[in-house]
Amino acid sequence: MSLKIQLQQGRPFTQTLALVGRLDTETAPSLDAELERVLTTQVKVIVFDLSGVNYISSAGLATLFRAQKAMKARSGEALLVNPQPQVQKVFDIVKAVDVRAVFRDVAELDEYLDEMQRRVTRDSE
Amino acid sequence: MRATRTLGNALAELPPILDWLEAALETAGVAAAIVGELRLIAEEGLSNVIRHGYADSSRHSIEVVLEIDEGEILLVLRDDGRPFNPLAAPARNSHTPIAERAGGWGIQLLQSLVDRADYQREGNANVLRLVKRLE
Repeated sequence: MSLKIQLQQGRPFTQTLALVGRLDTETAPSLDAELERVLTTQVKVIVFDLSGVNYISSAGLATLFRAQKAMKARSGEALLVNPQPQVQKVFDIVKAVDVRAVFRDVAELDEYLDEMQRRVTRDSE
Repeated sequence: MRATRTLGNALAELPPILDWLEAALETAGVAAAIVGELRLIAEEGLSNVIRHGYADSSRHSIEVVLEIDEGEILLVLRDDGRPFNPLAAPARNSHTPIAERAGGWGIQLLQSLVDRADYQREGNANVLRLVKRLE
């Protein structure tokens, strides 16, 4: 299997999935299965760290799209960080992934998540 | 160089063919970015045939021909599935169900990444010729 999925905990209600390898016809089903498991938890934000992904095909796009749709349905978000140039090229050709959910690097993503956290804290006060 | 491989119409047979293609291109000294795009073109073309090409459940074989010439790479995909020209397939809109749209995305990728493409129905075969230039 040419995709490694590492689960990383960080902020509350946030699950990061660091992916290493190819996200394609062969490996997308394993990410689908992992995602299904993550979706049984109270997670509000799923982050796909794509820094280790060197290849994505339409099967991988479909998985990321499903994740975004599933998170949106529960008022959460599925975010993507660190897409490599060849993966970004695929995102640019097929407008499957919501571009507002794609962050160039972790600093950009952290800024967004900080702002989100501030908003939540403000609203609950 | 010219090489031919065949695979059956099962998704499990796809990875070894894609690995073979990648290795052949690497051996020929093709740049990594182009190798990746050709793998993607082949994956989308072949997975589309395997998923949607056949009305029956019998075993079929799909032929893949790789030709590396000076300046360009030719990839020929030949299958005996139902007539289908992926180059003429319309882009799917957001109202199409996801599974079907994923197929549409693959075709969109294939169309975008090749430099030249040609489809012919030859007898009972779909023959798709895909050309990628070596910049």
